[in-house]
Amino acid sequence: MDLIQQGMSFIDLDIFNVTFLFIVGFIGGLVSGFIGSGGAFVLTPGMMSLGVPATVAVASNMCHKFPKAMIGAYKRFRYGQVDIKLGLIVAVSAGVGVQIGIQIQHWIRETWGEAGSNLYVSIAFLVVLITVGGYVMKDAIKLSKSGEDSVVTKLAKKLQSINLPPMIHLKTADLTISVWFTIPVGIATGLLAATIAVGGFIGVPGMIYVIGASSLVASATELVVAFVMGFSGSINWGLHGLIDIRLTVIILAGSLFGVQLGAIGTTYVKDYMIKLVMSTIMLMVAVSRGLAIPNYLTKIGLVEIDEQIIYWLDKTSFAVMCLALTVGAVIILGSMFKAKRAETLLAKASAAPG
Amino acid sequence: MTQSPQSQSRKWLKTALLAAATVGIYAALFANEATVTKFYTKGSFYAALPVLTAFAFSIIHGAFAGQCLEMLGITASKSTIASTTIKKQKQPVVKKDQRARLTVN
Repeated sequence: MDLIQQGMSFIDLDIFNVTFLFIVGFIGGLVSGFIGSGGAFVLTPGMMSLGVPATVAVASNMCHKFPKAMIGAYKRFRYGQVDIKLGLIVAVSAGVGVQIGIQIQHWIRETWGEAGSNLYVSIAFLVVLITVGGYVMKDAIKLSKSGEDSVVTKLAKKLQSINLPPMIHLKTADLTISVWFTIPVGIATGLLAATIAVGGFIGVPGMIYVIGASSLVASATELVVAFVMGFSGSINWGLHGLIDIRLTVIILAGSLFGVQLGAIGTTYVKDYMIKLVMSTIMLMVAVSRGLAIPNYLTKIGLVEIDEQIIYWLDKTSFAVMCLALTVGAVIILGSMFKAKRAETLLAKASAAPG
Repeated sequence: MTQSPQSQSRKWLKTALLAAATVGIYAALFANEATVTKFYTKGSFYAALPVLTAFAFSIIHGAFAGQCLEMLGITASKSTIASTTIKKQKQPVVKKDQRARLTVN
């Protein structure tokens, strides 16, 4: 089916579709508002499970991503967490990374077909999410035990000390670094966004561990990157007439609540909590993608697995992916509730006479 | 800090207006679903339509969502707001130019 025909085959909406998209939009927005990224890896397959063609799902999700990121970034900017300069600089090199990622995908699809492309995406998911997610989780656990605020890594300190013009001073991130060292972070973000649709899983850790920003600033600034990339991507998809605006606005109905709630949540938690939520989601999504690999291996003929087993592995993979997002949301809401209750009790105790 | 009845009723009015605006834009879009789909999928310059629509929905519905959260008492931590305000209030020291000047009367 060619792109134009796919664009015309928009699904009929019923109460189930609308409710599903609203809820997933809300949870995706909540996670995005908190960790700066996420949601796309559930929304796109989620829409496809409702019968939306893949390109329309990607296009419609992209068209919801940039306005959601804009509102989230605005909210977090008001809390003093967004470094706009850093976000824009990373976004420029992320754009280059997206183009590289698209070319790699084209080459793999031409060489190994659709199944080969899906296998590549799943392997990319596994490698990145396990290594980066594992590292971030280890760091989060260490910080939660020590009770320290985040520590700037030796790598970031070293890079910041190198005087390689042009140097930029990042006011909100409170650091000075050469622009050259932000480029690999941006390119990796774009590359991952083009491959697995979530650039923030490298962008946020990159800004933390390579550039030296705090988790709060990195996750907030990622929303600026997401806005720029989502906006340019939406224009691209819109030119092909592939955005189903109905799906976009239904997802926005939920995600605009979620992203602001997630942003508010960041004001109640310590730095390490953002790392904990991000790494938990990343590791669970890695499990989900791992379960999807046998299907692709079977399709390209490397292994032979019973169709029934493949069916259940696929279903479990999707369920684990939804669970990843839900677990993230539960952690965010739980820690928000605890912190807000503690703040309220403290305020009452201070206001009490005597 | 308790709010005056006037400011409470102003907040309720704002919420109601934003709710009405949100319902209005969603109703307008879905009541004209077929026409919207026809024009929004034409491609080329019509790409501006879904992009601008997404912007409009995010501003109107985003404001409504934010207002709802505020009415429910879900707001940012007061300590974060306080420290952000302090940072903004710190004015940079303006140094006077001490260099000698040549002026012509």
